[in-house]
Amino acid sequence: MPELTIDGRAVQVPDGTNLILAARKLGIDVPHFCYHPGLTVVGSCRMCQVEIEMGGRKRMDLACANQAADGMVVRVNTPETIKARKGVLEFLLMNHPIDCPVCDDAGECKLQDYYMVHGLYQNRLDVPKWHKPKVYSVGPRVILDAERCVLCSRCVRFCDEIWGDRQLGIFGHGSEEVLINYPGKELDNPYSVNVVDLCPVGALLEKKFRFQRRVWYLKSVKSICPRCSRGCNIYLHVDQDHDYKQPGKRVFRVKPRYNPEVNRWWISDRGRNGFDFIDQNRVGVPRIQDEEVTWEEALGRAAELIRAGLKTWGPQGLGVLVAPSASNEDAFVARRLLRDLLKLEHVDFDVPSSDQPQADHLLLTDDPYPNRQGFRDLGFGPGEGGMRTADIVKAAQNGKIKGLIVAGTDLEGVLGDRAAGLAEKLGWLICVSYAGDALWQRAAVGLPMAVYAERPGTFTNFKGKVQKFEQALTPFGASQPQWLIWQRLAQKLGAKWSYEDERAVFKDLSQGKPAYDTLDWFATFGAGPGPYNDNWYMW
Amino acid sequence: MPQISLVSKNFQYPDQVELQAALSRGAWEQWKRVLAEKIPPAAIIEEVKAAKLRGQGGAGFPTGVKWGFVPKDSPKPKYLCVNADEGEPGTFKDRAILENDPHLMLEGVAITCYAVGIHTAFVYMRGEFYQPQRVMEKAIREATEAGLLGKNIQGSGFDLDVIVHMGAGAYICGEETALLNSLEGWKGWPRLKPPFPAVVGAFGCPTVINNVETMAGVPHIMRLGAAEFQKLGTEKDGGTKLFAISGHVAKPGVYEMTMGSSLKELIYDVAGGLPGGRRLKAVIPGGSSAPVLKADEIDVPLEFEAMAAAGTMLGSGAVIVLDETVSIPEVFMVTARFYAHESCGQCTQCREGCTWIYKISKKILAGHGQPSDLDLMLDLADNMNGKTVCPLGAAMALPTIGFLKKFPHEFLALMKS
Repeated sequence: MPELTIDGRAVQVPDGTNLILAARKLGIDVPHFCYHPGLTVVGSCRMCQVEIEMGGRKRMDLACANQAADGMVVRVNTPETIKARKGVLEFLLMNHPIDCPVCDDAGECKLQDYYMVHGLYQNRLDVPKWHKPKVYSVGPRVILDAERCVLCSRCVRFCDEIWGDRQLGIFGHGSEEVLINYPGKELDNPYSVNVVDLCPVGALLEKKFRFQRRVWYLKSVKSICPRCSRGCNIYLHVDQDHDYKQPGKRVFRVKPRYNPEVNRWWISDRGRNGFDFIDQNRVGVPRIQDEEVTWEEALGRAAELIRAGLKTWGPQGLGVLVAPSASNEDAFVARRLLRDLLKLEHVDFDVPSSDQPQADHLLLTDDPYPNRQGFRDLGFGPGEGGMRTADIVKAAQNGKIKGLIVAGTDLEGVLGDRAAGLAEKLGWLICVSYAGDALWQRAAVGLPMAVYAERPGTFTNFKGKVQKFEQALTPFGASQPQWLIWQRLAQKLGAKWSYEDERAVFKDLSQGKPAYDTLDWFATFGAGPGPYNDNWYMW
Repeated sequence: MPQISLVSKNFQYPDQVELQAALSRGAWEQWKRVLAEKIPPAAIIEEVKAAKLRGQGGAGFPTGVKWGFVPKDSPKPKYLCVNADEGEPGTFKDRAILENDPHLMLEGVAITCYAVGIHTAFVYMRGEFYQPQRVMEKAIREATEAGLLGKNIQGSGFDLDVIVHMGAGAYICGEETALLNSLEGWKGWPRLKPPFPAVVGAFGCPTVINNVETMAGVPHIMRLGAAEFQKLGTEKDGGTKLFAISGHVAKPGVYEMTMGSSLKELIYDVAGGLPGGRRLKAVIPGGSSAPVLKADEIDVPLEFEAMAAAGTMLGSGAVIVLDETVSIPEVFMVTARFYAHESCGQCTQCREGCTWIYKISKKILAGHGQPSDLDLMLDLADNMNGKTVCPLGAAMALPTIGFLKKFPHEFLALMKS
């Protein structure tokens, strides 16, 4: 553990820590473009020059390429280092188009940030600038403006080192050098948009986010990606205050959140693109048949149907399918209602999905749902003699199951022919859903559900790691969190218990489960220790 | 007369490129002696250290010391790279060795490999060196067939393969770590040091990188002994040096001089002075990246330390002589154009700075300059100098400072008001 002094303050860091990270431990920012803790050090932008004094000898050198050593004295801001950095910044801006007003990266651009500290000088350039490719599609999801590029090679290194296929390269030499695709290759790997996060400037931009919203309008909320069972830590970038620009659009993009134990700095393009369902085809008013009603009426009707069903068909005549895209809190309250109170047997969460991810060596798993492990941990599932999903669907088709409750899955959309006419064959169908899908259209009772982004909760990933997501948005319309729907239904059916909020549910469900009950609801679960834990995806 | 024939001794014989002819003039004798007498490798390294042989590629690092940095107990293979990527404008002394006496260099390669424990040597050759490539490949073939290279050389059990690798013609690949990247098939971008190539070099293995001329000196050290060889030069720079003199001299060409001879002697006595009675204006003494010397500054010994004291560098020994007819701003523009074109584009300052300086120099030549441009270029040079991964940034900055500080009046004369 070498101890060194940075800008007059002593700090102890682990062996092998470079000076950028050592300074960050003290809250000192050493400007840099090409350095990223997840990639190899190339030291090519030359922005992180600091003064290093060691054994009585002073020199100016890179903070990224020099490791902390005992007795080292580092000065980040001296007249020499500031001049050196000003010089680098001037060179970088030399051929830069300075088109911040139309650049999506404005507001989160390192060139802009550093210019506030190291710039503000007279423009000394009176020779023509280079022109390079603009509005160039490097892949299906990423667009390039090569004139804005500072040639830091982060994106190139991401493709080489993290994904493992050389899809981008820097070609040519001297100042005519340009970042572009490798000949014959597209930037089409399933993690391609990470290069947009890595890009310290506005050269590489996400097509989906391009010209959608200025970044300073966006609110950043800690969340968990629901698109596979890895549970990557993300930020949801939402804006509910400028609705006049794109009515109805509230979520604008997903950014990775550093977690050394789960996803490091990266997320998949699948996760990044998977937020459209939050703002599309939503339902916000409870329904009985085709009629919009109040929650009281709808829940009363649902309780009536369940009670009557139990009387005429018995527990064997009822089936429940809950998609494990629901949180642990949802699963726990659902279990208390369905298994413990109503004593239903045919209760399952193993529902199929039409949106199957393809597992790979990096993050993606082959499970489309984020919380299958949580459902297992909480004992949600069929009772003794209870059927699994496929059998429940079959039983519903041939009339053995008369009443079906479906939550969070578009069963007909997924099963296609196998579920054709399902609703008509049943005595009744109660649908808990966020989307106005085919099943919702034909449900006896429709109960609109808030999505994960509209309430807090926890997911348990496939390795058993419990992680919390925060509420980013207010629920759509009159929709309510799934656990609250189950709870209100339970109260209609005679339950004596009730929870105040998600936190209370979590406290109860955690009892006796070591993976859960050590967690503090108010802390952000999941993010492990580390020097990067400053909750910003930009490096 | 400071001129001497050691490395260049056999340049005069057109058949020296043939193995039989070379053997008749003593080629490969030291290599055979090393193997026959089983001279301990450590003794050879000590001999080279004592001979004060310094790297002749431009940096002048003591060769024996460099060999000593290679870890002795590395489980990985070790490599030798001969740097034959002679690309500095004005430099053509390695080409003389490669084309005229390939066996001398190969013998040096063999002795070096034996001393350091290397079994594969690469000759990384500049992309445009078609003729040297042909000559060198033939020499390697003949030497291998004669049992001087290859497997179990002369029954000693020592193996050595020598491979010629052609570059693609980038100046930057003469920088040793860019050379390694190019050799490995990557883009020729210099690497961060440390780790130094002696520890992590070609293909991640310990690698010795030496200039062609340095290699050619090794057999002479073995023949003359360290003391004799060192005496040909100065206390710190042993042996001789090839100088490639070009520009406005009567007899441009490659001349071998003892270390420490004066630049003035080289220009006036050896190369025959300036033709047509013209007056000397300036000398670029060590390749295009060396700061220029004015006519009255050339009485300086051709030796690494003395040149540094004179504010310039010996570099690769490429002396460019400029007479009074030359426009310094034009020379400067051509130099800047070269570096702007050859900057590898990795580091910000060099990538953008070389081009910026080139554009300003062009602007001045076109008559659109302002006096403030000189200060701007000096400031840009300061922002580039010594702040990049490799010395190419400095290679542009130093001549900029040299030209602008020593000949500002020539630039100002081009500015109208």
